[in-house]
Amino acid sequence: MSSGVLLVAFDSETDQGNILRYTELAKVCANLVRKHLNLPVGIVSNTKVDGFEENIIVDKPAASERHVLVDGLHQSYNWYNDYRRHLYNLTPFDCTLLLDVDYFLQTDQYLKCFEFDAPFQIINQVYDPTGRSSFSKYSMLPNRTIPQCWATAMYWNRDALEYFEYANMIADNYKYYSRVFGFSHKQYRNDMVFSIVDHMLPSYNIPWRMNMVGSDCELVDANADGIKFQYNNNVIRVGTDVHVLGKNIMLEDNLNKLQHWSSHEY
Amino acid sequence: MSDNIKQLAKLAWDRKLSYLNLQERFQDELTFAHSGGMWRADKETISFLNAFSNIDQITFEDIYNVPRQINPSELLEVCKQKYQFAANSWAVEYANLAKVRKADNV
Repeated sequence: MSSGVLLVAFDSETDQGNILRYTELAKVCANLVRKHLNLPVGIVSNTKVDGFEENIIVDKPAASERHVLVDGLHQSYNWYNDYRRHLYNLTPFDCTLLLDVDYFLQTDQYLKCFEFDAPFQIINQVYDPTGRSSFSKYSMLPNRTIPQCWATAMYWNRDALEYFEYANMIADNYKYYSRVFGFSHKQYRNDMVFSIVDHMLPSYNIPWRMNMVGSDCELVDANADGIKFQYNNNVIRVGTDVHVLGKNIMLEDNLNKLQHWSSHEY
Repeated sequence: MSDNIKQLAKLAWDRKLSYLNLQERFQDELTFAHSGGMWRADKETISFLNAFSNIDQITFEDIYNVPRQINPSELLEVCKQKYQFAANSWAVEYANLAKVRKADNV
């Protein structure tokens, strides 16, 4: 049985002319996966991307418009977000861990998903290491009926076909489900789709909380002890797996820092 | 330059929060997969398994509340290893954090 990690990355240009280089960020993520999980990494993208064991080239999916703050400027860009539900057929691995490219691994925790090997596993709890509980309002879907899961990290094996079929059905009827569960239909979100899948089908939640830092957390540096963030007038160093929401990590300086950090042997 | 110095001087680091984050990490490290289930090498599990260490097989619920057939001595051994490893690294990291005096050194 082959095991590996899959990333999805489509570069995009903002209305201010900045390129959001998700594929470069994917290289950082892949370096960390190899370092901590020692697994091959595949990338799904619309272009050839060097440095991956598997490169699955696809057409860019439909995009939804997303607003972000990059380098102090409010910008909007096309967010190519709707591909995860097709990955069951695209993954080259029998056992796949899917990660967001802005999720930086610093431990081997996720190997436990492969060892446990339930057909479908997904994160459903987050932890804010800045102590502000910034994400507690997202513990349930907006109408408070079912827990919200995070498609930032999902594991599946070859027995998970029905989970993806169900996800496709929800995505095809996204407007209907958005009314049932009270979220906006204007922006397609994998978190919503897979939260409903997780609720409707017997699945296992990954048994730890995902560390996540908000978009006001600026990257200061990264070393063997972890990534240092600054927010307001505070600093914190996070030495465990961390999902970074701020898009400033795709600024050239930050990408260089992260590339150097992720490829360096400490 | 002076602005940078002022900015640096203003920076705060919350030691208690860093200890809490470390504890969270320690809790995560206690989880492991074994005998088809997912377990946590916490004090309660270790004590429970200890009480059954002279029996070959018992039914014990994992962290997903799924009853599983396990060999208690085998699972206890893994739990003890995981606990020791996680607790030792927690202690080392805790001692490192205790030495930090300035936000700049975080």
